[in-house]
Amino acid sequence: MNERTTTQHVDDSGSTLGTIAFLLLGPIVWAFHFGALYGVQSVACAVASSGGAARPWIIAFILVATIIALAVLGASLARPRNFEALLHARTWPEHQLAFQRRAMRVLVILSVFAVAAPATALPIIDACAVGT
Amino acid sequence: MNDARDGQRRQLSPTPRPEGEREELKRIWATPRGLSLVTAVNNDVIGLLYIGAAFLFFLLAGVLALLMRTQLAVGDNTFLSQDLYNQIFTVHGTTMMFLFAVPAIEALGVLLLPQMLAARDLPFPRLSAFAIWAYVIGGLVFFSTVFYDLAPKSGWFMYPPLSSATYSPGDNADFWLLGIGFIEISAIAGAIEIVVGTLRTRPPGMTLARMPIFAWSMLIFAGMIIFAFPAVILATMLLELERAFGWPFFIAEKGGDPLLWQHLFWFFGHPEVYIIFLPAAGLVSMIVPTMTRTPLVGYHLIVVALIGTGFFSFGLWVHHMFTTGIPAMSLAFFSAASMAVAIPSGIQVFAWIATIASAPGRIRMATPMLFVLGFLFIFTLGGLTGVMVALVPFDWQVHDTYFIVAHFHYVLVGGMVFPLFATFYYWAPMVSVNMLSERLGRWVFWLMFAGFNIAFLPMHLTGLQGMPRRVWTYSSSMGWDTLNMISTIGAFMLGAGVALFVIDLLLRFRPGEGGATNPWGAGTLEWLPGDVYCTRSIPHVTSREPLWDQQRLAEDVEAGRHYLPNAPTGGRETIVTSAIDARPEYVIQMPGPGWAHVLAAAFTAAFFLLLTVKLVVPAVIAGVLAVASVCVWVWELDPGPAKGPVDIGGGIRLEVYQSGPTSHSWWAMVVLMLVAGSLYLAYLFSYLYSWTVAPRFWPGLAAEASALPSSSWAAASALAFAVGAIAFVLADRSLGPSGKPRLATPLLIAIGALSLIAAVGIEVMGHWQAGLRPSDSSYAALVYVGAFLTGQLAGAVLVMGFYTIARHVVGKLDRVRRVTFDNTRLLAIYTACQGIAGLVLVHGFPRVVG
Repeated sequence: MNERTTTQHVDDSGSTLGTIAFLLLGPIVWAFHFGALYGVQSVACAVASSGGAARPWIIAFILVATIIALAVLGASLARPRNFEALLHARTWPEHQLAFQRRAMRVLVILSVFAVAAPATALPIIDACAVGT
Repeated sequence: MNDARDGQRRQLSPTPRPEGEREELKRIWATPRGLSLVTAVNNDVIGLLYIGAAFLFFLLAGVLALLMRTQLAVGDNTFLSQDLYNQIFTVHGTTMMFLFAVPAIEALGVLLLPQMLAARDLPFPRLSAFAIWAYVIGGLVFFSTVFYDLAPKSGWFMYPPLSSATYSPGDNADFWLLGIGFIEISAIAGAIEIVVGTLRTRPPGMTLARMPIFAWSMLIFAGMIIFAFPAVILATMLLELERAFGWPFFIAEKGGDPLLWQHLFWFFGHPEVYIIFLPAAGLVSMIVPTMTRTPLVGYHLIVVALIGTGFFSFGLWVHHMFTTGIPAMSLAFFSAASMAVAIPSGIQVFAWIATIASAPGRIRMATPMLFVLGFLFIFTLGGLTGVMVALVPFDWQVHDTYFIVAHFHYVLVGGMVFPLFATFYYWAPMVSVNMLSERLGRWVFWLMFAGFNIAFLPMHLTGLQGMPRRVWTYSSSMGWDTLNMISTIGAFMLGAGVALFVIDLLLRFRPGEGGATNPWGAGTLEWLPGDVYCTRSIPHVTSREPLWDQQRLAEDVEAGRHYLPNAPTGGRETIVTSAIDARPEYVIQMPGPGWAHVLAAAFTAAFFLLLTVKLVVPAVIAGVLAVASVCVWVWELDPGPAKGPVDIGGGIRLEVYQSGPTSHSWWAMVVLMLVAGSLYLAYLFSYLYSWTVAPRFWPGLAAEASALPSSSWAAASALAFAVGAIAFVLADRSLGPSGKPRLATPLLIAIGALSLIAAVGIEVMGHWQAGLRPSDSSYAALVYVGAFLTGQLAGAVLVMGFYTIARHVVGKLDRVRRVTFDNTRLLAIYTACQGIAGLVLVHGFPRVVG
């Protein structure tokens, strides 16, 4: 090892925050999707409890949100390097980079299932029916 | 993943080392003796105290369980009165969840992590010690309430309206609300320590991809605490405000809703299950490779599973509320998430099985391995019934029956207690002169394993036969007697196993150095030879199992051939490395033993407990003394760069001080702000949720509508928040060089802190003059709570601000030595942002929807 004073950040590594965001991309997308679905559906049903006009909008929202979330997840699977560059997550050393790419991909695959599953309720459950 | 299989040895520091170097390390890291032992901060001392206290609570709560099982052994039993039974099951659940499970895991983090990471200690040793003493004092006082008829009796989840002042008069419920809320603050302090410790004190070369699975699981554990615990802290705050002052958050006729409590409680409560389970799974992932002499199969899949479980567990909270009348589609969302979380859990189980299966003939079937196999059997059964209750129609049938009691005991005892006992047997040689008895250990395992299944397997049937949980007794005509008697016999067998373990501990466990070094032949760093200073030198790591892959590593580390074999600053120190790739960044100077943090813990506990019994003036005095103790404690921190840079070996010279975003202090502050942000998000949820329940109480046209102050009040408050933040930014620029203090700095800090206080005051006055009183409605109460949440931060900034000014006055603050100021500035800017966000919500939202 050469003589050096390691007090400054060496700029051959991605940002810490970006690397964490890249690694957790799948679950982060799931969290936003889940929060949006639950929040919008609950509020819309509460507001429209006497009418029901909101129900088609709720279904449309769930479909659109799910398609967007799946599209982001799919893109991250197909083009992980683009997301890596976007988030400044290209780390050093090489084995660390390989690890985070593999982990990110598997997390995205898990998240695809978790994002898609709630939408399967749409054909069989009324958007605002009370669960009793 | 391994760049040292060539067997290359490293000589990072020259040997032989100078004489007296090891003795100096021993002197610096020596454990205080006699009464001063309570001032100790070494992780091996306070870690043992922590795990000992947690285990004591496990035993005490276990005795309560046996009392309950005795009461339920036969129908129509009068062994316990109904009221005492209610207190006992409440204290049993509360103690097991809050005083045993989470603290035991944090204790293992404090005890094991520095050793696994070959750090001399975690970065904030006094914070750990503070958290532990606060927990010990608060926990003992809370548990003792069961002896004075003062224990809470509304169940460990304290649902209102049963826990409200109307249906639970007296102080019993308050002991739960203030006691547990306080102990959770201690848990959060521990979580901050673990996050920063895991990410910043790993040895050079230990990238995230090489981090031990236990460290991964503790990192995720701590992250989950940061986001989950604030929800229940807010819930306890709201319920205590309702009980003490009549602020109606959960009272339906004033716009409140008891279900709000359930949402907040279970947003914490369900992740809590995984908060307990994931580190236990991490422990299993450490034990299995050693016992099978095989690297863990699917390391990166297990990391993924831990992360995935940690995230998805936050989408499950409503599966405790399937029968509350929530819209069916919401139930479907949570049911789907409940299914999703089963996948990562399954990945871990299959990885362990694959590791075991890949090592035929090499498995060492010692006691730790028996407990691991017991864990696999019991936890898998608990997981399967978990999938069953995740199905809404099935859950409706078994909700609040003994089926649920059986399910969660299979998950929690299988998923946490069995791995914990495996841990006791596996890691005892690391801290004890003797190993625990293998012969007694087998008896302990079989008694516990058989006893557990005999106790809890029949409960599935009693539940399916309709026996409700939390009943004091039942009629013999129900036909539940036989199954209950079997459960009681099993419970006593389980108790006998635990008692035998205690005997083994008393006979053989002797804390101290000199025990067997690496008796299991493990590959991770906690088995390096060590002393009070952890390892003689800090190793350069090149693989996941360094002791397996790096030839003669133990010998080289012990000879001082790796990093930091000495104490160049003359005090306690360790290496801080970068979070992702573990490159050495600087040397952290750490504090040693002291009384101030112990007194701070005692006074903080006194503050909460005195408040519980309504002794307000003594409580305030204790609170002031607690703040004063904290100021004394932290005064000697922020030492400045005078002693650096230093040579740590390998040709690397490091500074001994760091401020700004790369400093460990900055990281801790950011984590603390995440906690504050989570608390405020829980508040935002409560506000919006309450609006969906009773919008007629919000400002508008309805008869019950509340008044809204004119927008000029909000503008004035926002202006004061902005002034506060800007003052701190300007104070940053005004910091002078060392020895040349500038008058502008303290002036700007004072203006900034006082502006934040004024901003909160303006907000409160605006609502007050508009005629709004917090006891009027849930809306009014939530408005004032919002101001209170920001107000407490502003209060903290005020105290920190004047503390920072004091340091400036005595010359301990300048543009280089500035960590104290950085922390105050960060919190001040966060407070201003939260305050302005609160104004937008409280003044903007009603105008939009009104």
